[in-house]
Amino acid sequence: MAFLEVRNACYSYSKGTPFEIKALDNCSFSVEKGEYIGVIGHTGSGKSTLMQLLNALVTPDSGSVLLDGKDINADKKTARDTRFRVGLVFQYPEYQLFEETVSKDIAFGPTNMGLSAEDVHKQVLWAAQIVGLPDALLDKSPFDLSGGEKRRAAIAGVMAMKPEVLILDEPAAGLDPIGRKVIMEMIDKYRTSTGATVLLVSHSMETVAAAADRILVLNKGAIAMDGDVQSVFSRADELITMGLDVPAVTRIAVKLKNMGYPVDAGVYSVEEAAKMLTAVLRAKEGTR
Amino acid sequence: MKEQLLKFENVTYRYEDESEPALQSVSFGVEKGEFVVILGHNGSGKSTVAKLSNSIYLPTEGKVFVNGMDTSDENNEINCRKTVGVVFQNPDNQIVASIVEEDVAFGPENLCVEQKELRKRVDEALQSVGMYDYRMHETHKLSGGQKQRVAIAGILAMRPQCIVLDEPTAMLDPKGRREVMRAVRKLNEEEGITVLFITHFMEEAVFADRVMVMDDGKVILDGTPSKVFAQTQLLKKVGLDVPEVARLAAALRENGTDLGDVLTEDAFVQAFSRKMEG
Repeated sequence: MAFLEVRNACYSYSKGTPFEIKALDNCSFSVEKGEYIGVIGHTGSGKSTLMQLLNALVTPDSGSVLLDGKDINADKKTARDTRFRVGLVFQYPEYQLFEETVSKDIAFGPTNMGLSAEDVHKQVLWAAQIVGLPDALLDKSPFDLSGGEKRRAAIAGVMAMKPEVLILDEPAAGLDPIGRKVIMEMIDKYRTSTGATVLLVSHSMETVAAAADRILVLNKGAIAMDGDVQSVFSRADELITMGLDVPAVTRIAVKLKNMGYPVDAGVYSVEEAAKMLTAVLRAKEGTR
Repeated sequence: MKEQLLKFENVTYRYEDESEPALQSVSFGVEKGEFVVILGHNGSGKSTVAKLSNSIYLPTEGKVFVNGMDTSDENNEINCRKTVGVVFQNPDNQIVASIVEEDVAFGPENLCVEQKELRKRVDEALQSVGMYDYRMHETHKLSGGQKQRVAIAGILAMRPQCIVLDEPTAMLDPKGRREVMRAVRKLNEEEGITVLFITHFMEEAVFADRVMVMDDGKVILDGTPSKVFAQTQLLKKVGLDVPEVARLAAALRENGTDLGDVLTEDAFVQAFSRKMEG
């Protein structure tokens, strides 16, 4: 039995009107505990709908979503419980900050879970530490923080519920390289300390390549590819046709391969590519 | 020396209630027809430069000149804004009309451009960014990249000599980013429009004539892309990076193969192939 499973899920917006849009079309996949999955797809490919499906914010028109083998939409209570077990960080989550202080804002989720005041406090401090928010900021108004700190406070609010599945929709959008790195390190820290499953939605192929073990590709509401990073990025042409991309080093490898050089076109990290290209050059020198 | 379209002279800018100035005595010029990229981490002062460039902000100290016009002189305000158009990060905040061509017409209409000329400008602007076929479409149904190109067309229809783009690709998917980059490069190369392009994506800087790096309200590097991206350590120190292609070339250099100055994929592939054949 899979930990989290989506079975033949379909979902349409504006149902029964001339503007009906099919957002998800017969999607099926399953996810195991501890997996780190990158989700890529062009704007409007259904990524956000799919993520909302996983924590019961959206109920499939047909098909089902199972967590530990149980339909998350079976009844209201299961759906509510699922939202604590599957944490969803929306794009630009800092727009959702609302409380008087940072610690109250982070406490919102765990408080709603019905935890004791003491446990709530513990989880707030724990989450603040994972995202690297110093204690001194916790009593400030979230609106007095810098942009990067706001984003981290908002993510801490989801992490404080210690969800078993953490879904993040473009958590690094609009950040500079250091800011992006900090966010990625936070996610790693959360994973290692909780063993949680992570689904990372991103438009940055380089980010996904560096972080995830497996990639789901959405195209026009359907799962177009599902596999390890190398096997997905080795299909560069198809990805580009879907409005996506592959990391720059992969594009170079593809070009060299098309020119007839013996290179592996599925390479996706700078380190691996350097190793491979050096070997190709050495082999060539050896034949001279 | 070529004519300077945009000139910052010892510009300091301080936001209200802030003790530290966002810009500290910044000086630089942008020549007519240049494609200049500004890189810098969040809060380094990049966006402040964008807003100073067409008198949305006025310098606290120092002067900004647009085509020789002092932006702090009220009489120049309209002409400065006609000369320099700004495109911002979020396409949804810049679309004002519900139909594409009406949105593009908004700017020139406000400049009292007469009807026949207006039609011509809107059509040409939409053609320039590859959105002419969408002129009757509803703006809210466009993709991010399409909306951003409509926003650029809206600026173009006012016939500016210079466009400043403040992280125009930050919210777009890869295809949207490619579309916007292609449109901007075309405007620069074919129509000679001066471009000041602000971004966080190092790979978008490799096509520029010049790259400026900002940190802490100051310009700390200013030169050709290959010169700037050779400063790996300094860039890392200020929270930036070098493009992946340059990192790959650097890694090969460490392994004993020097491909020379390569920043773009095509340059890399050519240099590598020369090594293989040579």
